[in-house]
Amino acid sequence: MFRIRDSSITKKLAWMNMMVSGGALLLACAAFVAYNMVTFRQTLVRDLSTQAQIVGANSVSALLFNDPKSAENTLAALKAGPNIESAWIYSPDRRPFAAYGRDRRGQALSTLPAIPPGRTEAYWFKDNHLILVRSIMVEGKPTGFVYIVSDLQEMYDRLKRYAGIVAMVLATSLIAALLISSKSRRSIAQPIENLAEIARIVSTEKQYSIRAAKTGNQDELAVLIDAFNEMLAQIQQRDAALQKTHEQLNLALKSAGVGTWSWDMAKNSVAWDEFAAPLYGLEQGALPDEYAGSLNLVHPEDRERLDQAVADSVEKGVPYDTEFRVVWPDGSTHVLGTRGNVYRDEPGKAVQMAGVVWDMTKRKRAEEEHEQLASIVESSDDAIISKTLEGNVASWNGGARRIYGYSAEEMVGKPISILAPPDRADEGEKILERIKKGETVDRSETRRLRKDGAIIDVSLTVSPIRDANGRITCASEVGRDVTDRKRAEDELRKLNEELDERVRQHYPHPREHARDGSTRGRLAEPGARGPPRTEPASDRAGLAGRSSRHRSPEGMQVSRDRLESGAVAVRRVRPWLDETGIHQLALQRCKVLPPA
Amino acid sequence: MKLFYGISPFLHTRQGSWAQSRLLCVARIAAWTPALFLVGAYNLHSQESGHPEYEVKAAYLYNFGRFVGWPSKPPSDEAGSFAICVLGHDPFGTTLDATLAGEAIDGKSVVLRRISKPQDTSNCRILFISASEGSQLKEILARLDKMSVLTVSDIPQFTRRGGMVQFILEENKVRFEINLAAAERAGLSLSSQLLKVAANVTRNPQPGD
Repeated sequence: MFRIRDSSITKKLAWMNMMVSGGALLLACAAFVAYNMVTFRQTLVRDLSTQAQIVGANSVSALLFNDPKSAENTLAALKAGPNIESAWIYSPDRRPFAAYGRDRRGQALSTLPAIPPGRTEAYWFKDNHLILVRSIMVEGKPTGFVYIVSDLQEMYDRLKRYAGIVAMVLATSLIAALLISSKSRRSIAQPIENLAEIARIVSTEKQYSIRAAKTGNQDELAVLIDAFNEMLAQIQQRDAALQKTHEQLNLALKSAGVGTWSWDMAKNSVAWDEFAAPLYGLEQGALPDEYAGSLNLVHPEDRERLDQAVADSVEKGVPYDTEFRVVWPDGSTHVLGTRGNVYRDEPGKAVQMAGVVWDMTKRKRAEEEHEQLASIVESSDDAIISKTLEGNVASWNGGARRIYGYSAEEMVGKPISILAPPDRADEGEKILERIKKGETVDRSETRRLRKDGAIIDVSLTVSPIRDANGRITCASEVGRDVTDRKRAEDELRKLNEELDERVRQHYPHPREHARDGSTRGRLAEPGARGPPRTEPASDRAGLAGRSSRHRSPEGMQVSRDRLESGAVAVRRVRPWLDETGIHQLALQRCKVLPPA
Repeated sequence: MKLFYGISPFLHTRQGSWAQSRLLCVARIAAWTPALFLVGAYNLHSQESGHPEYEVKAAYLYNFGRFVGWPSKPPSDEAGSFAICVLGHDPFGTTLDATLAGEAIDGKSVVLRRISKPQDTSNCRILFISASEGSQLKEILARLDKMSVLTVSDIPQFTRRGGMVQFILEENKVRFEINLAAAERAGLSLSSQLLKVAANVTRNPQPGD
């Protein structure tokens, strides 16, 4: 069925124009015709009344002289009035006196309708006829009555003519309205239709680059079109911005190795982006698309904890930020970090969860290594210190505390020159100068001042530390207390001299012994390597003492052996340190940090 | 006088404009109303109901007065009265008195006079000449010549002999004939209404006039 409200604006406008003009015209015509009909009826009544008066007047003599024929002649003149169907003249005693019938149809009324008192005339419309009765008054007294019946043909003819005219005017005005609406279409409907077409293209083809054409008018339509175009431009700008952001995000995610996930709780569907699969060691698209399956990827020991974290986040609003292990298909275990948000609908019910996941295996491993190395450094007996090129202490380990007596809190940020004895105040400067040139000071023997004021012998290895660009930023210093060893060496040397002297005095072939002794003595030289011994370091202290106490040839031999092995034990840490790179690690903290 | 327009008014209505016809009509009614007098309706039907012939004639006699245009200057010296005279033997008896009592014609009260001599007729407007005067009719009419008196009689051949209105009986019904020439010669204008109800109207002068 045709419905005007679903038709186009053009049709609506045309309809509106036609309805308005047609309606107004019809109303005007109806009013005009109605008015005309009313006046015409009055005219009819007046005319009939006039005719009745004339007939009455001309019938007076006939009535007075009792001449019905004459009255009938008078009535016959009514033939000239084509609407008059029949007419009678009644005598004063209400009996028919003379009659007239256009078609000989007229039937005299047996009883003449009464005229209201005080009036000479009465009329009424009945069965498409106008009936009029008039009394013939002579000097205020009734001399007879005229009774005329007129049909309303003239009125109907007139109505027909009016209907024809109205129809013609209506048709003309409707055509004019159509023409006008087709004109107005150009200024109103056409732009709206264009706008609708543009809107349709935008909504169906998602094509935001097109624009609605301007009308050139300054009406509301122009405002609408401008606003629409402005909106499209904004959408385009936002699209571009969104695209850019999206690309940046993808780039960021890709370069950071971050995958995204989102979990629609109502549908229980999990969606992953392209960066997520590699984190689980899976092919693209191999990730499960529901929650339980996703949880199965997690290391069995972490599953319950992760599930609880999700539940806490959904139910209690606890931020979802945790890490878990996954076992890849190849059997390797990886640590993944994840973080996400819960999205809720209006009543606060959680409907969606989305977030990111990333691989933190390497970082985790690095952290573990760092911690391990840090504890090694911390527990080392050597004093491992880092210092800036200005000579300020940057880090201070447990060995340094034990050897020098200062705690890390006391020394970090302070100049290393605190440790220099008065006679070696400039030694630190010299070392730093060499470091700045890129040189390494290897196992330099020197002396240091302890916190308790004692002077100790130390062996220092100072190396430059370079940054990624190869620039020297700070220096590491590994110091070892060699006070006991120095003392032992001195005593050993004295002992050797004494021994050689005694041998020279008692034996004639001192060469064999001398050769033998020199061979043994070389073993004690710094840098010599021998088979590692597992002799406790604490024995070293007692070694020198015993050597000096037992001065017999046998005792001397024992002392030499012990000395040899002690020297080896003192140095055994170094190669290990070099291998593990602890030296580098310990000095990562170059800058002086305030004490924790 | 403009008492009546003899031509059918409908011709005016159809030919003239509506306003014209309406004006004419109004003028006509205005002229009519004061001029018309009531005639006892019973008179019209008197003969049917067995009333004597002269009752009808009495009513007619009175009615004639209303369809005649009288000259502006009344011949009578009795201004203010309208004299209807009966010459000779009165056949009406009291009927005529009853009919004319309290009536007026042309704005004047009607007076009934019974006269016996023709010379007494000078003040009459309507003169009924009784059959008894038939013998001296010529003399009477000669005396009334140009005196504007409407002469009425039921003497046979009255109109042919110079009379104006003559009662006749037609199918036992009272009717009348008119000698229009005689009336016009006397300066009376008879209404067309009167003429059309007359049984016969003589328009040309009669040899007896």
